[in-house]
Amino acid sequence: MSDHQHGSAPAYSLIRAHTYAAFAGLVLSALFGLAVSIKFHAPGFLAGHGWDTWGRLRYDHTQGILYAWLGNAFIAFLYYAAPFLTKKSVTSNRLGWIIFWLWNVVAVLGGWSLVLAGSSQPLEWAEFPLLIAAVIELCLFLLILQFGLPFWKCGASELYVSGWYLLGGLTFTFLAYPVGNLLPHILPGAMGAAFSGLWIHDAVGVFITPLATAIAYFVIPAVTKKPIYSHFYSMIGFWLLFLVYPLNGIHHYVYSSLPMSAQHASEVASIYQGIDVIIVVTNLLLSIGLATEDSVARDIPLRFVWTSIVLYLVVSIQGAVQAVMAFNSFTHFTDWVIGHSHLAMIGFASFAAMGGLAHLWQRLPGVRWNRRALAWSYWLLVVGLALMVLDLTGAGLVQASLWQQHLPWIDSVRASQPYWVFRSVDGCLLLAGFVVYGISFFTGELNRPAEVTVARPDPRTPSERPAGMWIGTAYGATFGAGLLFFVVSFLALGVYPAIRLHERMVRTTPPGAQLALTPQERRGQEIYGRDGCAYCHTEQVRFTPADEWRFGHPTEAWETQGEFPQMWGTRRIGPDLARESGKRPGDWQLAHLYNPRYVVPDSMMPSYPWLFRGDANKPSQDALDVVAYLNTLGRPAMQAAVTHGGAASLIDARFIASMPQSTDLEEGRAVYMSNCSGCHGADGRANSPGGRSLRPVAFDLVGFRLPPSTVWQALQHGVPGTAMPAWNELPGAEFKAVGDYVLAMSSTPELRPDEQRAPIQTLLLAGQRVFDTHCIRCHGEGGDGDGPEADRYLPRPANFHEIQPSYPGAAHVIHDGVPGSGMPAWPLLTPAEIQAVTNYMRSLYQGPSMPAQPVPAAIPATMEGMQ
Amino acid sequence: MIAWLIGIITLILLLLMIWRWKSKEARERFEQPKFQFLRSLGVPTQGNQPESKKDITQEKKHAKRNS
Repeated sequence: MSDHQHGSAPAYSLIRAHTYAAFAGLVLSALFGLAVSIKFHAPGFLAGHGWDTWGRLRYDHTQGILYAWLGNAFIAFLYYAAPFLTKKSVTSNRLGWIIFWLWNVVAVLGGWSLVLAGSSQPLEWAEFPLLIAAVIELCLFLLILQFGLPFWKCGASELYVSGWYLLGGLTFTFLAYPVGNLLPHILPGAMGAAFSGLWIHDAVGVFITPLATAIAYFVIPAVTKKPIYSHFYSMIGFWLLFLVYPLNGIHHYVYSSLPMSAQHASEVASIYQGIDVIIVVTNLLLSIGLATEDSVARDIPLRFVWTSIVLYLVVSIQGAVQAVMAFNSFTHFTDWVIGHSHLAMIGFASFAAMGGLAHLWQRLPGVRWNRRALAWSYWLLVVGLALMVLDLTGAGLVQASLWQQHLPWIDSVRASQPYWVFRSVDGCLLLAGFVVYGISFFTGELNRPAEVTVARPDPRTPSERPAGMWIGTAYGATFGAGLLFFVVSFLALGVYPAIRLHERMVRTTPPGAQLALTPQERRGQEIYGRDGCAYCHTEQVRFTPADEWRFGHPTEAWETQGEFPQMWGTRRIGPDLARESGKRPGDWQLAHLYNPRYVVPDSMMPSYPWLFRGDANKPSQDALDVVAYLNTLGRPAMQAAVTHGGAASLIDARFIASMPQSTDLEEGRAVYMSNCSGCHGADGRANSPGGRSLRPVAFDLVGFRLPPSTVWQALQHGVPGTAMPAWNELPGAEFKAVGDYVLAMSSTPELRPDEQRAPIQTLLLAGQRVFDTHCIRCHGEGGDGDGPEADRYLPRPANFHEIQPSYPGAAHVIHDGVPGSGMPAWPLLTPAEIQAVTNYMRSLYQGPSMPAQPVPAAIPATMEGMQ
Repeated sequence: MIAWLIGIITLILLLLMIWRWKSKEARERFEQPKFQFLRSLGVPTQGNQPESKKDITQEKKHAKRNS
């Protein structure tokens, strides 16, 4: 770019190129986000392939917003603003085009494509693979060369606050970016999490915030034609931002095994950050207030900026409150946080960027802009954002409340569904706003071809003596001190916790603990990471009563030594998996992975059919690897005999069993359909795809009669050796209702005379002969399930004193066997022999074996609604 | 350690504020970039008035208005 005769002119072609790229990035990233949102309530939407799974689209959504949209918008604004701020040209136009192509083709398009192809890293705000991260770091360096040199030449004492923010944003992002991308691969588990926390916050704090604030400080005086209220306080805000923001990072991991002193520090720093924002926002709003009164209403770009400033205050105060540990224990991991992040990324950052782009576009020669479309986009975005934030905040409060109430996890998923549907509606509004915003840049009046010129530098007014060396030195020293301070914050919140954690790990690791993963488990971990599982399932049980009750012993630092990178997560849509090892059998995990609705009817988890060969029972090596990895989660603690049984039972099954059986089965049916029908089938005959894919296959509740005691025990404790889990998280009333419903389902009528192949006594004798010939090795001579080979099998062979088969149920089991159990198929037995042996087995049934227990004096607290 | 860091930050910023409050020259110099920026935008400022009375000014006028 050549200097204009009377100063410098912005690089129009580069501004236009980055602006167009920003539009494309915004719309595509929003589409990714909308697809992700729809998948919450319609998990079958865009499913079936690896590239369109929830996790990968979610990665592309956030990375797209960060780099494709905001990155391009900020760079476009830099090209426009830098000549005004420095009165000098950028370093090189050619360098500008190199940055443009590297940023957009290699980093953004390359990153998106690689993520969709399954190459990514499960690190928040750093999901693009390391190769792309290296390109982005290179671009940041080139951007410093491009813009930093003119700023440097300008001199510290002359630099307007927007320049400081732009310079600071580029410099500190360049320093912070490797922290979140590289170190978690080198440092394990908790140690890596400390650094991840730094970058999660720095991505917002040292990249987005300074560049968005720079736009506000630029646009306000440019529109109002008045100086800002106080340049001094703008600089105070600037320094507080860079000095305090990096100290916030660990507030994403409070109540974790990171050193408590670091957690408290991040909490204090977060509150301090709120004070800084109050200073900045007050200064900005006073600057607008001092100008002509209708400037916000008249100038739509300024209106965007004004909204951004107001929401900056709101989101920052909200963030400070969220970091307070007492509040955090309630809302963390819920949609409240997602509402907060959308408020920050759209309400603050995107509104600022849109205001900045619209402002510069109206001043660019030879382009069109449409004021009416811009106004429409503003209102669409304001309404869409308000609805989305209210919706997600409400969803977060509901989820937090349900989690505290010790209800089954799936209840929070069910309760969230309407909120998630509404979010998709809000998302459509926002997308429409983005599209209309883009349209406003291509329609409407054509700007005159005259070029914008930066006014010739000075002459200074007599009152403005050249700034002395002292003020330049002070600014320069402060900037140097800021860089030094960044290093100190890195030491304080990254290195110091890491050293403390290392010491603690060495001290507390039990001897012989199996921390390293096998190659198969490592492969499973990579697949788990690339498909975004950690973005719904945390891998950290926090030191909070609710977490400990539900998931078991809190995650300790020594347990995480095998995690490269850590996948602690910051959101729980599904339950935490830190104690997953041994909780579920592999066949359940595979069926769940193939299609979660097979075994959890109301699940909204995505299916992963591409990890199978067309059937849940035909897993690929990838699926087996994932399951192998799942079984490592919590394994070290289990081996070290740390107590972690998961949710403690609030159910007294014996008491419930003693209560009269309900005749109103509607509630029980509803509970059954929500929780049990996936495996046992809607009709209880276990012929659902989920039930058939388990090993052993799910139990046929209709074809076999069980005594109530067996049903209650199975509900309370699960059935060892099968996929049947404990249902002790169910509220007492639901527990009783579903048990009664299951008891009422069984149908084992006697044979009608016309169905009998022989007189009953004959059948009995013949059946005993068949039984003695084929069955007693497992089921025992008396049919009580304790034959000589019974101990080889889990689940144990049936005890026919406690289970009564129906004729059709027994015929099916005898003919086909029970896949996954010790019961083989007996295809050579004739129908008459099967009828006979069934008749014999039925004769052994003794009915309910557990007598009713006396009613305890105190009714358990969880039995509401049952009195 | 973190408490010390936050304390040092606060102290430095307080010293800066006291400096600005005590020194008229510091007040002027700290505010100069905003006028220069306006001139870069092609907006004439009234900085040629002695002591930039109308410029620094925004703050003072505001304070007067509210007093």
